[in-house]
Amino acid sequence: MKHEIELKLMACLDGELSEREAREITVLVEQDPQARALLNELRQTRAALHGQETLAQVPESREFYWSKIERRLQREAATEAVPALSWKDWAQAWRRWLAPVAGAATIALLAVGGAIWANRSAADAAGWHLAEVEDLTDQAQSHVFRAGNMMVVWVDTQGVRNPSSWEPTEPPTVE
Amino acid sequence: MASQKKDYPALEDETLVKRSQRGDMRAFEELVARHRDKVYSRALSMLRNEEDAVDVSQEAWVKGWQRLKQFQGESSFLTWMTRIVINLCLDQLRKHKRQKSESIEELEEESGGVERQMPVLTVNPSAGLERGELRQKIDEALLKLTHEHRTVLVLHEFEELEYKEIAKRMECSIGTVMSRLFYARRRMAALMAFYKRNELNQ
Amino acid sequence: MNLRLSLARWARWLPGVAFLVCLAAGASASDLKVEGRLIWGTNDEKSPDPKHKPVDGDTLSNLRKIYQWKHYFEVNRQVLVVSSRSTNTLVMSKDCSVEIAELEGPRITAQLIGKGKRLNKITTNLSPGQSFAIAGEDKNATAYFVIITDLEETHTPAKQSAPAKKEATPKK
Repeated sequence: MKHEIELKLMACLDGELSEREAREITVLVEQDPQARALLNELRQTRAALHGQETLAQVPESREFYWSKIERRLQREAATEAVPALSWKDWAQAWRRWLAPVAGAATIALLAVGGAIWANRSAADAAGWHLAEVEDLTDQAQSHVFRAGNMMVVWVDTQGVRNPSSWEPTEPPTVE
Repeated sequence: MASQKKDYPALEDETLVKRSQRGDMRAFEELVARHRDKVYSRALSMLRNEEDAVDVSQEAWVKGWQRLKQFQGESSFLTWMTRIVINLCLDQLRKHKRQKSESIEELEEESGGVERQMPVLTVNPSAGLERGELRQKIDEALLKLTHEHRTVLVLHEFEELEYKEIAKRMECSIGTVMSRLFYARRRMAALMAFYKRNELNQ
Repeated sequence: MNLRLSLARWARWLPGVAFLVCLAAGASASDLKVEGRLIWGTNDEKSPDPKHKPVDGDTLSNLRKIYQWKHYFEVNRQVLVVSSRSTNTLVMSKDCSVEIAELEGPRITAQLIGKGKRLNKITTNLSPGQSFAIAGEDKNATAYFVIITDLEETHTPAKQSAPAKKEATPKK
C-alpha cells in the first residue's frame, strides 16, 4: 500500500478529508483487507488514547507556586512605575505636612516602643507580616511568602554563586 | 475585606477573568490555583520533565496576566491558557532541538519509512487494561517517542487540534504533521502491544 | 571621721547604683537563643556526604507539601545565644552564615551572608517557638533552606538568679 494512501486512511479517520476523498477511502477499505486492518489499528490506538492524558499535580504548594509568579509580575510592573520622588521632594513634604505633629507622634512612638520593649513575649507571635526584607546587592532578589505558619524568604541569586555552596563531598566547616 | 477574600473560590471563571482584567491580582491568583494542575499537566505531557514543566507553566501564567485584556471569551479561559503554555513548550522544544544533536534513531524516525515496516496489529492494545494501567502504559510509551512525535500526538489526541492548526504551531507543513502523527500512532500501538505481551508472559 | 564621711558620700550614691544594676539585669533578660538548621533539598535519594542526616517527621512532610524536591538532608545545626541589643552569627557552612541581631521586643534582623557577601537583610518579629526560613536554589537543581527558630530565652551570665529573672519577663 502506498504511504500516501496510508496517510489518507488516517486523515479519513480524523475527519480531515473532503467528502469526495472520504468516499474513495471508504470504497478502498471495503475492497482491501490490508487497508481495513490498518484503519482498525489506527482506530483502536486513537480510542485507547482518548481521555487518557494524565492529570499531574504541580509539585509545589499553592503559595510557593504563586509567589514566583507574583514576584515576576511585580518586577515587571515596577519597571513601568513612576520614578521615585527625590529627597528634596520628601523634605518639602515633611516640612509642610508632618512637622506640626512630629513632636506628638514622637512622644506616642516612644510610649508604644517602651511598652513593647518591656514585654517582648507579648508581641504578635504570628507577626511574620511585619517582616521587611532589603536586598543588599543587585545580584540577589528576595521575596517573602507564607508557608503554613512559617515565613519564607526566597533568595534568587542570579549571577551570584549560591550562598550555601557547600560541596557535597566536603564536610561543613563549622566551629 | 475578609468576606471578599472568602468569595473568590465561589466565583466563576468569567467573573474572575473580568476582575483580573481590571487589575485584581487576587482574582487572578484564584484562577491560577484553580487551573494550575491542568496547565502544568499539558506542559509535562510535552516536555516530560517536571522542573521544566513548572518553569514553563509559571511563565505561561505571567504571559496570561500580561495578555489578559486580549482575552474576549472566544474560548474557555482554561483553553486559552493551555494554548499559551503549548506555544511556550514548542518554543522550548525548538530551542532544545537546536542545541542537541539527534541520534540516528531519531533521524530515521523523522525521515519516515520506519513505521511502514511495522506489522499491522490485529489485537486491541488496550483491551483488558484497567483505566489506571492503561494510563500508565500510555505514559511509558509516550516517553519513548521523540519530542516531535510526542508533541503532535499530544496536540491532536489531547488538545484535539486539527492538522492545519498543529502545522501552524509546529511551524511545519501539514504533510509533516500527518507523517509524524501516523508514525506516532503506529509506534504507540506497537509499544502498548509489547507491554501487554510482557505482562501476559509474566 | 574621714572614713565616715567617705562612707556617707558613697551611701548617697548607693540607691542610684542599685537602680542601674537592676536596669542592666532587666536588659540581659531579653537575650535571644536561636537554632539554625541548614537543610539541603534534592531529588537524589542519598546525599553524597554520609554525615548528612535525612530530615524526617513533621519537617519533612511540611517541606514536601511546599516544595518540589523529594528528599531533604540536614547539613548542619547550630544553636546560638545573641545577647540583648547585640549581634552574633550562625555559621551554617564555610560559605553560608546568618548574622542575627537582637532588637527591641520580639524584633530581630537576620542577614544572609553567602561567600562573604551580604545578600539581604530581614527584619521581622520572632517569638519563642516560632521559625522562619531563608531559602534559595542551589546548583544542579537542588535547594538550600536555613530554618531559624527562636528557642527559649536565656540570660547571661548564667550565675544570675535565672528563675527570678524569668518571672520578670513572662513567656507568652
